[in-house]
Amino acid sequence: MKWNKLALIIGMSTTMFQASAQSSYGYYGHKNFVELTTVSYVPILRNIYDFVYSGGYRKTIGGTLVETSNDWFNTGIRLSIGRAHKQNSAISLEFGYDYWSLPIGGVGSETNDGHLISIHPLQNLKMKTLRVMPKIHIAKKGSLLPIGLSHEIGFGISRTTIREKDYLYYVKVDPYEPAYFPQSTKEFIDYNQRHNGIQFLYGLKIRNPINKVFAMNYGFRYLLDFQVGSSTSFNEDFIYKNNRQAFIREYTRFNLLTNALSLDIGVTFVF
Amino acid sequence: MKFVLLYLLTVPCWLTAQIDFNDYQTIQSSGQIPTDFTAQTYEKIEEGLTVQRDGMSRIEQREFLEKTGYAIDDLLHSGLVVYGDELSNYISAIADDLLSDNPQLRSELRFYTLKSNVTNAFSTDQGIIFVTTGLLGQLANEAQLAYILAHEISHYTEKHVVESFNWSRDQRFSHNWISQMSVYKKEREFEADKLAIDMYRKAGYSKDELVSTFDVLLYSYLPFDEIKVAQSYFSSDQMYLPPFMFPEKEYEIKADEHEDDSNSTHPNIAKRKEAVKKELEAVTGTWEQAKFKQPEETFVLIRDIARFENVRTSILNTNYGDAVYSIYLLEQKFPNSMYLKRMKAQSWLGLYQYEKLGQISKVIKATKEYEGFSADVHYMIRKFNRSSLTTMSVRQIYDIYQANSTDPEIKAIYSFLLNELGRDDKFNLSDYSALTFQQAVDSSLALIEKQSLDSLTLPLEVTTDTLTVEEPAKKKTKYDRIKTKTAVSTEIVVGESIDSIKYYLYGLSDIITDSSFLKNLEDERAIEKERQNRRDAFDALSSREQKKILKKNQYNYLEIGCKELIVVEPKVYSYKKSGVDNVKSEQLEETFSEALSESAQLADISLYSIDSRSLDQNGSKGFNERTALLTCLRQIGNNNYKVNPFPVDFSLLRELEGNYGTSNVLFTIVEHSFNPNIRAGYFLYTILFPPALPFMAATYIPIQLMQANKTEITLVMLDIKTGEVIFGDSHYLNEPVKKLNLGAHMYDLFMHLKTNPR
Repeated sequence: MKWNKLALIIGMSTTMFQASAQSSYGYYGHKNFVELTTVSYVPILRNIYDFVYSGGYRKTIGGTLVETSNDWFNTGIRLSIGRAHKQNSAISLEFGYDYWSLPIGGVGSETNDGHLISIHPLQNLKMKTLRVMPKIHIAKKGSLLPIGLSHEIGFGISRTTIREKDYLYYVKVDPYEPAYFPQSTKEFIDYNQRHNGIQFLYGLKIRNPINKVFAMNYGFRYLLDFQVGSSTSFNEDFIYKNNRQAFIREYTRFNLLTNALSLDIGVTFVF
Repeated sequence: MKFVLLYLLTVPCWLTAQIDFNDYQTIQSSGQIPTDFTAQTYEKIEEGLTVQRDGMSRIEQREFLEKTGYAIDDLLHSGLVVYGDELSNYISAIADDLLSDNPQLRSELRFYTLKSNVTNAFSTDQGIIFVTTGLLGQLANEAQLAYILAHEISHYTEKHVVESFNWSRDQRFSHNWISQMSVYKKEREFEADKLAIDMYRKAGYSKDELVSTFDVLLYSYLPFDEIKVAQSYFSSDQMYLPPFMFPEKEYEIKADEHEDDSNSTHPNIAKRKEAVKKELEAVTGTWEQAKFKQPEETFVLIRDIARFENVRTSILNTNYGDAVYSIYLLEQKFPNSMYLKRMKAQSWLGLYQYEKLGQISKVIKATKEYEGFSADVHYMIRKFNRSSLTTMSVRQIYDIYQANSTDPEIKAIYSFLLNELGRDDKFNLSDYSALTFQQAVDSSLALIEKQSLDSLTLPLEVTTDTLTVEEPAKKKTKYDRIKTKTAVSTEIVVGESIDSIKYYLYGLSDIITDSSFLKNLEDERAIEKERQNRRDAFDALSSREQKKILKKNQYNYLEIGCKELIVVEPKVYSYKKSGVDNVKSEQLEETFSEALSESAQLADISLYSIDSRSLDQNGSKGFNERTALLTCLRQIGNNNYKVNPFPVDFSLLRELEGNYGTSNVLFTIVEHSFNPNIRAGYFLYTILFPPALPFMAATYIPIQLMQANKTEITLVMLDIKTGEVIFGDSHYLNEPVKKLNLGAHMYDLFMHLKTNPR
C-alpha cells in the first residue's frame, strides 16, 4: 500500500510539472512524446561471478533434466510519456517491465519440523520487475527535445516478483528422518511476495527522426536497483523464518545491481 | 565570324551606355547568366574529368578539379564577381581583338570583373579570367590591359594553373586565395610575358606601351593616382584645421623595381622588363602604334567606374583612410557626384565609429606604410584625437546632409550618426564654442586662452593653402607624376600658422545652435537614457531575480513578429579528416534548402530564397540581389563586432526591401563532422584493473560514438534597412545533418520569429 501511494505521488507530481511547464516549440511544434523502448541487458558482472562460483541451471529441451546455465541475456520493455518544457530539457514518466532470470543454484535449509532439506539444483527462477520512474532529459543548449541526443537521469521505484512457473528442481531430505518434501515449487515459493526497490538511472539516448511524428530511439542506460525491506519468496511454512532473508532478496539485489548496463532501442511518437 | 558579329552587337551597347557618375551605383551583372554561375560544382567536376590532363592519374585529376573547382565557385558566388557589366564587356571586347585569329581559344575563355582593390588578374584551368577593379583603376591605357590579358591567356593555354596547383592546401578556406591563384613559378611568368608579346603585337597595340605595363604592377599598392591633398579640402569657414595636422615632409615612394625577389614567387619588375625588352628586340614583325583600339573615352569611362568601385571596396573593407583619399582624387573630376558625397559621409562615419571604439589604427595605414601623397590623409586622421575626430566627422556629415538633405541615403547616414552620438557620452555640446575659429580670433584673444588654446597667432588667411592647378588627369598619368615628383612644386600658400590643439572646439559653432540637430540629438539621448535606466534597474536586481528575468525573456530577441523573410544561400560544410568534403557539402546544401522551405511553409512564413541553386530561374536579377545581400554580410564580417556599419550598398538594399516587402534577411551556415574521438590510450589504464576492460568497451566507446556527430548551426539575421544584426546565434548539436533534424530547428526558429515582440 505504501508503495502504491509513493507511485501515485510521483505520477501526480510529474503530471503537474508537465502541465505547468513553459515550452519551446519542440519538434515541428510537438513537445509531448510517447516512447516504447526495448531494453537488453548483458549481465557482464554477474557472469564473471558465475564463472568463479557456481552458476544457475536451466531445463533441458525435453524439460526433465536440469543443466548448468548462466544468465546471458535479459530483456525488458519501457513505455514513457513525457514533455519537453524547454528546448534542451524534458521530463517523462516511465513504466517498464524487465524479464530476467535469477540463477540461485540451490537452497539448503531446515524445515519447521526439524528436517534438513536441500533443494539442488534449482532451475533459474524467472523474474519480472515492474518499474516506475520519472526522468529528466537534458540536452545541449540549442537542442530540440524530444529529438536528438539527451542525457537521462531518473529516480524511481521497482517491484520484483517471481513469475509463476513450474520450475524443475531436485530435493534431498535428511535420510534419517521421515521426510516431507514439496511436490511443486508453489509449496516453497510464495509467488505473491513482492520485492521492492529504489532505482537510479543514467542514460544516454539518441532520437533520430524518421518523419515528423516518429523517431527511432537508441542508446544505453545504467540502472542501479537497490532492494529494500526484508522479504523472501520462500514460504514461511517451509523454511525457517531466520533463513528467509538469505535467499531471494539477496539474490535479487545482487542480480539487479550486476545487471546495470543495458542497450535500448525503440520508437518515439511525438505529438 | 560569330565573334565579329557578337562584337558588333555588344560593343555599341557599352559604348553608348551612359554612366551617371553623379548618381552612380555599384556595377551589377546583367544579361544572360553564364553557366559558370548556374552549374553545380560537382557537375563541373564530372565534366572536367572527361578531359585528360597530362601526367595526372584519375584520382589526382579529381582532387585537382575538386579543390580548384570549389575554390573558383566560391569566388564566383562570393558576391565579388560580376558578369555582363560595362567592365567585363570591355575586357571581353579587348580579348576579342587579341584572339581574333584564334576563335577556338576565344570560345573557351570567359572574362569577369572581380570587385577587389588588389591589382590583379588571373586565369583558371576552366578558362575563366578574372580582372580586378583594382587593376582597371590603375591602368593608363587600353594597351596595358591588352598585354595583361594576353599574359593571362598565355597562362591558360600553357596550363600553368595545373602545374602550380598546391596539392597540400585546401584552397576553399584559404583567406588569400585570390593571390594564390595567380602564383606561378618565376620561369612561368617569363614564359607568359614572352608569349603575350606576340598576341599583343598581332592585335595591333603599341610597342612603347608594353614595358610601361610593368609600372602598373610596380606601383600597384599605391592609390590609383598621386595628387597632393589640398589642406583646404578638409577645412571650411566653420571648421579650421591647423597646418600641424598635415605632415611637413613628403613621404617617399619606396617601390623598387630591383627589389630582392629570391623569396618571391614572381621575378622582380626589372628582370621582367629586361626579359621583355630582349624579346622585343627579337621580334621581327611590324608594330602598329595603337594605345587604344576601342575609343579612348570608353577606356576612361571604364577606368572611372573601376575607381568608383575602389572607393566602395575601401569602405567595404573598412579602409576608410584610403577611401577618403580616393574620394578626394575622384572629386577633382566629379565634384558634384552624389555617390562620392555618400561615400564620404560613410567614410567619416566609419572613422568616427572606430575612433569611438579606440581602434582607429585598424582603419588607416600604419605609420611605417606611409608612402606618397595618400599618406597625408592617414597622417591627418592619426593626428586627430577622440574629440577632434568626432568633431571632424560630425562636421563633414552635417555639411553633406545640409547640402543634400533630400537624398535618402545621406539622410539615413545623418540619422545613423545622430544615433551613434546619442550613445556617445563623451560628445558634449557644451564643450563647443558658439564662435567659429576665425570669429573667436577676431573677438578676443583672452577668450581663446580661456578655452585652453595654448597659443594663438592670428592667421592672415586661415584656409588659403592651395595647390597649383593640376594639369588635367588625362594628360598626366599617375606614373608620370611619380617619376617627375621631385620636379613638382607644391606651392602651398599658407598664412602664419596657428599652433592650437583645441581648434576643433570651434568647429561646430553653427551646429550647436541648430534646433533640428539639437532636438534629434536630444531624442536619441532620451532613448539611450531609457535604455541605460533599464540596464541600471536590471543591475540593481539580485542575481536570482536577474536569472529569473533572463529565463523568462530568453527568446525575446527572436520574437520580432516577422511574417516574411529572405534567406540567402544556406551553406553546409561537411568535414572529413582531410578537410571539407565539398561534394557532400554541396549535396547537403540542397537538403538544407529543402528543409528551410518546408519548415517555413509549416510555420506559415513567406520565405524568399536567394541562392546560387535558384539562379537558373532568377537570372541576373536574383544574382544581383544575392550579391547585395552577401555584400551586406561581408561588410559586417569585415568590421569589428562592436561596430554596426552603415550598409555600403544602401540604395540597392532599399530597392530589394521594396521588392520583397521585408527587410529581414537570414544567413545560415551548418558545419558538420563525424568524429568519435576515441582515445586508445584510455584502454591502457585497464591493465591496472583488467575486469574494467569490458566496461570500458561497453561504455566509453558507445558514449563517444553517440556523441560523434558534431553539428554547428550558425544563424545571422540582418535588418537590411538599418544594416543592423538582429541576432546571431550558434547551436552546437550532436545530430547528423538530415532534412528532418535541420527542418525542426528551422521550424522552431521561424515560430519564434513569427511571435510578436512583447
